[in-house]
Amino acid sequence: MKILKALRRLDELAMLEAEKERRELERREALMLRLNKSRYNNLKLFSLKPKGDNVC
Amino acid sequence: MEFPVEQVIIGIFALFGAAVTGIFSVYNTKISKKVSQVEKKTNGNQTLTAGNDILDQIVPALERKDEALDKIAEILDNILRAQTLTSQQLRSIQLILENRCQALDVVKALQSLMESRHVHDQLEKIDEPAHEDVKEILDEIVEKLECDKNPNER
Repeated sequence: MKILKALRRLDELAMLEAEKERRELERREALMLRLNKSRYNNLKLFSLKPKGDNVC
Repeated sequence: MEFPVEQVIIGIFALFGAAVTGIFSVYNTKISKKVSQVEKKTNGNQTLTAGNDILDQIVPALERKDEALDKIAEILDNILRAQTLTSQQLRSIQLILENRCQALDVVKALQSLMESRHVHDQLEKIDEPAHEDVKEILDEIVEKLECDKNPNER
């Protein structure tokens, strides 16, 4: 009985960890999206070449 | 030929004992395997959480920096178009540059984060290679931001 209880408890723990992993992966994905957006914005910004007639 | 009853009973008990030991051993192996899987997953999750906590602090600061840079770019664009530079525009640039110097705050926040007990505890819990990776990435970010702080160092 104890062994079965231990197995059941382990299954519960494994499920909790799997759920936590899913949440953390979602969080990581959202953060990476924001980070990549920021990186893309900077690239876009610094690739601006103010050449032409309007140069002061 | 006659079997002694006592020996038959002992034999049955021995077989039963061996079967029970076998079953226990199978369950024991099963539990050990599961425990190691759960431990592995827990360590992986701790690494993920530590990384996410760090990103959670860095990303908003970077976004503020982006906003400031966008505003500066917009003002510079207007100056280039109009070919005029008013004191108001200079004041705006100064204000935004002050805002942009949040890079300093980011460095400070990162350094305090790296020294914080929470992160240390979390890093200690995770595997050694992952720990080194996180530390290396943090050092790299701090170095880059410090270059941001002093553009002449680039």
